[in-house]
Amino acid sequence: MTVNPREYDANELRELAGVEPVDECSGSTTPARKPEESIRDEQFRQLLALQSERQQLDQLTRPFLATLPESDLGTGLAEEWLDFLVTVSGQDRTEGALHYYRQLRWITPSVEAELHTSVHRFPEPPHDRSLTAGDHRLSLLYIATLASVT
Amino acid sequence: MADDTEDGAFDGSSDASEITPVGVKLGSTRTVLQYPKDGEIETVRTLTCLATYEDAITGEEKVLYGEQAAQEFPDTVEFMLRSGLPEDDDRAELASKFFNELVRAQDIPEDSVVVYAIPTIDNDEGLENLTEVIENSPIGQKLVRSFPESLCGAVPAMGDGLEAIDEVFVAINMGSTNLEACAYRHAEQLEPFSTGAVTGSEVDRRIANAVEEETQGRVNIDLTTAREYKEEHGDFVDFEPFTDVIQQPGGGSHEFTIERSVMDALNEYVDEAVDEIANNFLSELANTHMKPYQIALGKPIALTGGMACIPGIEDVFEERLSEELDRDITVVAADRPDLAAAQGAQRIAGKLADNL
Repeated sequence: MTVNPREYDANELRELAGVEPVDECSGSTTPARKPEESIRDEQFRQLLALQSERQQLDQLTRPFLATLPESDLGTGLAEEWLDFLVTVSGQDRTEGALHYYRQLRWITPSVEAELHTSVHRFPEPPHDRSLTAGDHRLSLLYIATLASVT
Repeated sequence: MADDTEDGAFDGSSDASEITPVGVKLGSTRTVLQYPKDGEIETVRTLTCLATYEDAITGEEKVLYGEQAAQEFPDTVEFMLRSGLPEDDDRAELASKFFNELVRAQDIPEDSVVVYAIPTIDNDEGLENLTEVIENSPIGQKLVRSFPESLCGAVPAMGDGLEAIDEVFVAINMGSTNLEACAYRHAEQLEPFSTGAVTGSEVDRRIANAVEEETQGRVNIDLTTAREYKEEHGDFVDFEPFTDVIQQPGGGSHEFTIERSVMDALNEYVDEAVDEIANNFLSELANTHMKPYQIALGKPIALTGGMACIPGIEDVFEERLSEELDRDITVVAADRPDLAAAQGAQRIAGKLADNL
């Protein structure tokens, strides 16, 4: 028996709270993933983005993201981004944000259309709010990272 | 009577179940128990201390705990969880004795489900000793679980049930011996943070020193008195200078007024807590978990622990953290932040009992 509070079973808690299990589609968490693994994952992505940055400096023209990457990493990133937007702001605002990003020419109409079809795969959050400048900055980071793995 | 008991009805009791669900917070200063009794939730709140003495007639060792021990044996009373966890075998034994006396006095059934709210301190030996204390406890024969104090404390701060489990949020526990913070993503903990540098006990020490300074060396108070000053007079909304009297060693008494000592120490505490949270915990969280960081800071931060009981600290912390981060932050606390961890633990125990 251990009483280490860092080793509790998050799945058991979710079950007790009657919370829907977090499915892979939502991408918000992988139950077995420990914080250290999440960190490594994030660091890997950042490194990848940095590595690609030099090569892409001359290509940094709008639209930043012309196509969505087809690799597992790219698909996972796109899902994680959509999950973030829907979790924070709900499906309608996410669609609005994607439209806004197209207007800003961060993404192409085809990327918007492709993402648009996936928005409803993510459940509406219990509480939502309007997206802030910080949220849009994070979106831009997702766009840059996606562009770097395309 | 060695402890305070308070009745309070709130959702989360497990009337349907015959197994008693118990929430426990074994704190360095106070221990809190919550369990259902006669259809209501019973709260026991007592000082985590123990004193022993020999019965003059039988020669048997007698044990006193809580406020009674502190009052009757101030010179020998032991606070065995001063650092948050029992640090050695002796303290583990004392902690066992204390906890067993406490639960026996409450007559809690052994066939119970017990959830412990535990501080997330990096101390393997202390955790091992605490495991021993819990294993030796007569209660929890059905099931025992432990969860971080900050998570348990956030449960009553964020709703009437277990809503917190389905949220992405940041919880901060302002304890006597550590400042604990963690982001939670649908119950998964991200970036647990704990420091012993910013604590309620340090505030007590500063108050004691400041009182000596404010009275030009005429008054020396002990840490217990300093803690009482903090708890009784500390107030960010409506602080009023107060007067106290000490007996002089050579006879007679000396009356003095405290104007700055308590609030200076508390203001310093909030500044340091904001600094630790903004520049250590949150910056690390932002670096490693950008998405949860962004989601969690758009929602209220749950504040718990004994220090969160100081009136107005919630608003002051909110204002100073917003300033430090240069973004609007909101802070929320349970009605009784000092009871919140045990309350949250009891709700989880209630669900576990229902599922047995």
